[in-house]
Amino acid sequence: MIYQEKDRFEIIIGGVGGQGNVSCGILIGEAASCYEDKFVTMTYSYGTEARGTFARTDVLVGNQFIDFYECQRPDVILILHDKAYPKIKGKIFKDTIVVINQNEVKDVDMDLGKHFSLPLSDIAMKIGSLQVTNTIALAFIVNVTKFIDKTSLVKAVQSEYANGKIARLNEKALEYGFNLH
Amino acid sequence: MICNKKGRHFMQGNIAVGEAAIISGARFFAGYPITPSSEIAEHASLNLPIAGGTFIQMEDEIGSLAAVIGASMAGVKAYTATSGPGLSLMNENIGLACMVEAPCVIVSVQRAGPSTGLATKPAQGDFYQFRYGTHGDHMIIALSPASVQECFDLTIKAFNFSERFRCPVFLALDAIIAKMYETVDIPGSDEIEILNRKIASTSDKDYLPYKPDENGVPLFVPFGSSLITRANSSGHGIDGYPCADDKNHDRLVRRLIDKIDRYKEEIALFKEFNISDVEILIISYGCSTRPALAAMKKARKKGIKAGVLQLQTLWPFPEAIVKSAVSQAKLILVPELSLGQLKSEITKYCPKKTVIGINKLGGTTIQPDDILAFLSKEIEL
Repeated sequence: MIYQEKDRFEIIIGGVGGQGNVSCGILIGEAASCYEDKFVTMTYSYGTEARGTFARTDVLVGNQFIDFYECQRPDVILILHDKAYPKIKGKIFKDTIVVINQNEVKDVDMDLGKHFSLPLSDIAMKIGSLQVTNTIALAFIVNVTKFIDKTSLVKAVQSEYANGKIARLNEKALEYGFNLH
Repeated sequence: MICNKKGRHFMQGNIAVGEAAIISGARFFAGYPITPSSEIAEHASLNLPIAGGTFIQMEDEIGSLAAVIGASMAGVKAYTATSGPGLSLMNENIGLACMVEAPCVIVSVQRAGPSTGLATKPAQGDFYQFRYGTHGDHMIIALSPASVQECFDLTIKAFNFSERFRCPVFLALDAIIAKMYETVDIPGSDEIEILNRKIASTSDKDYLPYKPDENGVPLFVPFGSSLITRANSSGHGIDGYPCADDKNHDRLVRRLIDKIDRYKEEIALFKEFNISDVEILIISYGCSTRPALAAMKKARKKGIKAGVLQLQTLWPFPEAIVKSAVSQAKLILVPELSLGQLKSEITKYCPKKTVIGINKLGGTTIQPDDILAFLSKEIEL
């Protein structure tokens, strides 16, 4: 499928609080809004706890104002934690790209959607921090779908993490993510 | 955090409110952080000191609004942010702000109630609390955004209305729009109209703090200036001194209402979508506008003449706008995250029309298909 020609691109990110589900959505939003003149809407739901309970982020990217803020037919679903898969599974369509962090998510149905299991946590540890798991996944998704340009994502990451150790780790994460496929 | 940067951003609703507050000239925030409004306090704590303003985290919401009123009466544009449980505590001082005519903006992000309810989940159950929360006859202005861009734009309007009419103005948000991130364009400060309260001349030796001008609004003198001013929660005369006279009280309270009521057509902000040939009209505000728009588009594709009236002003209730929009509609649908508060108000102004509420509790959003289901059912009938 040629995703860059689609009128609307929908991504659901599922995990638990503290994994960077929202940060991941912000990177997409900044890349598409500020560097590609697209319209992006992002909503997220979470529990009252700071960390550890189910969290879901919906990101919708379009050429015009987006009416409804929840993904109706996701193009991509990223699952970062075991707790998220059963809750989001019902949203997988035949052509939905499903990206799974295989280090965290064990019980998956490989026949649902277009399945990619990746050792995201292992790669993140190799880079130097579990905190960049989400950036690796995002770079992989952008490379596979090309719904936004790689350079837009790079610019958004540089703008969000301006300098220091976090910036260097995220830069590496992008490099690894872009080369996963 | 962003502050005062012209251009395109991907921003949270709460942050857009904070940005607009500072651009409006607000330089004082007092509050008690509460989900789902906490980012507004956080933004103020980081950015107000840089802008030369003041941030205070108070002991509770009663103190928060008291501090905001104090700052306002000293001549500083001031705001606070809270959610239903905090707004309940603020009600006493909302009456005080009305009575002493202190311009201020109260942002309240609706979450599922009553009481502490569901802290992180959205609702639209405070529609009447905005209007009637505080006691006694009074008038209030409440604006409600349905996108992050509107969070920015309507915050500017809220400050302008509060300055122009010298009254508290609510920004009636909900947890969906407040927490949502969205593409937003921040105009340059030269492109934004900012209003400031009218100040009495210091040479006016006959200054009376509550003598109304031709619009019913008294000229302002900040506490601490060379002119003496007074603020009195009790019935007061135009000199600001207590006055229990029956005619004076009648005149005072009628003026407090009339100064807003006579401009309610200017205050009535709204958006219409596909209204010209509408047969099925969806009336909504805040987050419920978004599934309403999606449902309208799906219905139009099926040949159903659906349209949406989005109320950006909730109070004073824009009755003329509603009456005009419903005139040719055969059916009116009112989706809302409450058991029918907006519906009840709409019904008052079109008693002969069929008005159906689409109501949801539980902290989940209304889906476009929830609206379409009602719509299709009615068409078949």
